[in-house]
Amino acid sequence: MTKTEITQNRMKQSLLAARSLVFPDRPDPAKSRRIAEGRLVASCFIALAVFITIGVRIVTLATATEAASVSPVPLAGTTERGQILDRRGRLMATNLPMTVLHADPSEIMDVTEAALQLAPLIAHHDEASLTRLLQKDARYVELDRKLTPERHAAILGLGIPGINFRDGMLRAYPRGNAAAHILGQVDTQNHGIAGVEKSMEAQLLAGNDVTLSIDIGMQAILAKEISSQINDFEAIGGAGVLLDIRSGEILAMVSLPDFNPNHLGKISADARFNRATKGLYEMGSTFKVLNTAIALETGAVRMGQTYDVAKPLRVARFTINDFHVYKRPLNISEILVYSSNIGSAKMAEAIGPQTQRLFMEKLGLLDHLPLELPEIGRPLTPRQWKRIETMTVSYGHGISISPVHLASAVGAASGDGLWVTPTLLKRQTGDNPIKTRVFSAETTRNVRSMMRLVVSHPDGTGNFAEAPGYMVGGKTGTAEKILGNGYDKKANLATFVATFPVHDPRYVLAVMVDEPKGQKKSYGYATGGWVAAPAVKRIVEQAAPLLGILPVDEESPEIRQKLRVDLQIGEEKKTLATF
Amino acid sequence: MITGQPITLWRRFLRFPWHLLLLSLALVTVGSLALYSASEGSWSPWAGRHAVRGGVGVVLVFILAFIDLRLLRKWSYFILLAAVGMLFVLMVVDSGRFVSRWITIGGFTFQPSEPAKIAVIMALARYFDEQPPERMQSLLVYLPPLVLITVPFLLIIKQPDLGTALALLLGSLSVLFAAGMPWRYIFTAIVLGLGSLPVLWMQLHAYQKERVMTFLHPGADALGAGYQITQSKIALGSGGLFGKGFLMGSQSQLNYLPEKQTDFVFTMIGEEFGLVGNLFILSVYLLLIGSILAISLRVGSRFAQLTCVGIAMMLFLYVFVNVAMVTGLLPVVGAPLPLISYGGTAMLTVFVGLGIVVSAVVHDRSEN
Repeated sequence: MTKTEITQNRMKQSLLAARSLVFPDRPDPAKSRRIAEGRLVASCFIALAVFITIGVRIVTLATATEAASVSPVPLAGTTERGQILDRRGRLMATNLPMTVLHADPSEIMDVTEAALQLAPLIAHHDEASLTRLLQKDARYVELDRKLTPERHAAILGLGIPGINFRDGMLRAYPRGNAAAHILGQVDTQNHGIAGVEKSMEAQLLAGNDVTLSIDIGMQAILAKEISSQINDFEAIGGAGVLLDIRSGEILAMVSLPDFNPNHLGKISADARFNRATKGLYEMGSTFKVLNTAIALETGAVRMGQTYDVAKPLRVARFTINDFHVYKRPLNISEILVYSSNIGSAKMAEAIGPQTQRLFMEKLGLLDHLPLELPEIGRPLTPRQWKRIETMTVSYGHGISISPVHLASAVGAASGDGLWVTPTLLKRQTGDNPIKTRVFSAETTRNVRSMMRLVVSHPDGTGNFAEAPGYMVGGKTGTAEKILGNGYDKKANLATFVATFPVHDPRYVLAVMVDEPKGQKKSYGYATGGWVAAPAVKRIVEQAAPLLGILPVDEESPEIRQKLRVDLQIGEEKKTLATF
Repeated sequence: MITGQPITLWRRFLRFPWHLLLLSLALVTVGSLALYSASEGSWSPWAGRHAVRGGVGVVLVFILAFIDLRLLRKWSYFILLAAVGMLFVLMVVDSGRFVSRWITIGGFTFQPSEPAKIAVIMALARYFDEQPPERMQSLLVYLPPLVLITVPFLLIIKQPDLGTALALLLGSLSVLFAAGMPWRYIFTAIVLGLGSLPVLWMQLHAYQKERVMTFLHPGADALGAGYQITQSKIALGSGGLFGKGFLMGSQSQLNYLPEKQTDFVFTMIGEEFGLVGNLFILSVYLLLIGSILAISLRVGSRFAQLTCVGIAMMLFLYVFVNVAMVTGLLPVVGAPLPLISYGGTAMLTVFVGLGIVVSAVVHDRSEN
């Protein structure tokens, strides 16, 4: 072969190769077939293997246990905030599904038109404020947190682009103002910001319900009667506490003015303020109950012992006066029933500062109470506790405490002598409330008998608290409010603390009216006896039947033997002379 | 074994693979029952139309049976060109605002991506029919098929319809595989394919990525992105061995299960007819696909053989992707269950495929 031939041959071969790319040779069917058959069998095996895999998977799924499945019902991964119930399981705070209306201003095409259409359908906005909101340089503005289904439908019907809806959970307080200070409030994110909502946040967040010691019925009675007194006496506020002294449970606790926790904002600081737990007041003469109990318990004073109260008592640069002047010596029952400051101060002198302070401490009056509320006040106590402080404390001055403090201390002095930690949560069976013995049964029996006379004796200061048959005992208090460094003659705090029924003490009721003004019907008086005592009477009359207390005949021997009936009030001769 | 003997109509009739028709009609029947249940025991809107379409499909099979496969072979490139043309038209004229997969002709909506798959398979079958086995070793020979596959694939993926695009791709690859692509190329392709996964991932739409993530962590967002698949698994699990009974499935009847008439119909059947129902359907598919593969082993012409493989494997892929998806073995890609899911074009495409297979059998000359 020549060189050219070889080149020609090569060229021919490459040409053939190139040609066969475009015009392929006739393939060899047999060989192609062999290859294809092999591949087909391979395909069959792949398909079979895959089918088996799927089959196994289906069998696994079909025989899977129920536990592996996810329930489709609960909403997006959050547990609902727990409810708050009263002691009988009635709803006080719950959750309502609501629609939140919001907008993306950047998507709104015609702000004026949108505002015009939306204005009549949104509760808290008018056209102007909506226009302002929708013009904001933001991607999210909230227009309404509590859209009703009806308005939701109406707004949907408007079909405005950029107006969106979102499911929201609204914390609702179906009883409105009732127990507002106890329940507190939540913020827009449903986190507690006040009251039990805040103090029990952890439990509520975990989805657990909280059962309060409160009875809605009692709560309503207290609120109604105290607010009626506030109106009648043009007072600025008031508070009331109904305490079960055996369990420490607070059955009702009101602070007035109150607020509707369903409405965030627009609540004045004064309405928010919890006078019953955070308010600290000089309780005045109601302290004489404690003073008498301490004096008897320590043996500093005997029953029947008398004191000369004829002249004002001068201690250092202070003078202690009485409302009325009694020329004759008064026994200790009379000192309580007539509410003598001079007599009380002299009794306190016999007790002595150390002992008095110790008892005040045992009665929980020197520290804040371990209540289930963030809003609790720490008492203001004398910086130095000497003779003069001892004397003023005896009639409730120089020490400021909350109404709940007062109720629990009087509970110990007039009940069975035990101080029980007060609580806002319902005691569960098996709970053992901490009880501290402060007074003997004998002491409290004497104190109760005297408290009964305050109400039942014609010369007592608390006659208006008499609820016939329910054996109310109590003590009035009228304290001038502190104004700067001195006292305001015109601003009173009218209180009444009651124990009922005195023959079988179970409940303490403290009522306080803040700055009542003397009225014509009260002959210008704005005292505890005139302002607070009538409320106590009406509350006991309504509450006692609900609490299962039956009216009794005070003159019956069973009742008489439970109380001391030998207490001497007033001069015997004088009493005889009236015949 | 070409006999040259004229094949009479009668002989063709005798050859007719009736079992294919029976198996596919069984699936249509199951589909109609499931759709009847999906609409809470009503023939409208799905079950009735599904059954009618099944009837139309059978007629289509008979018509195709009379068309000689060689005619289809002759026209195969042209058919592909027409299908790609239609896909192109879709890209230009949008039929929907966001998703354009449909063409409306005279009131009938129609998905051109469906016939495109069969067109690609036939074009590939014809191409490889013309290649001698030795040539299969050359890489150059795979350039034209690459174009044949890539153009419609990209057009479909742009629509976007990932499920159909993948079915087209894998159906085509099965033709390449059966045609005798050397193993070394196959392995290289697999390695390259796996290597390009990250690039592909970046090309995916956000919702497609979400589906894959959901597949990897189905419990992570059981009420959001993972909702469908979670509900699907619940339905399958609650069906148990024999199911809750016809029309009694709570997941499907109470609308917990989305798309129960299309992609999730298998789940619904699982809930109402249980494991037994599902395994029955799977075996019908296995028989159908196995029969087509068996036919492809038997038929004389290479074109017929490769076309049958392509059709069988595409059918197989749909069944596999759909069932794997609803059982959580694969991400949710949106693939119907052939002949059972509601959807006209997809169903007619399957019947066209079956018709071609029938034609391959009827007009086969190797038979003696």
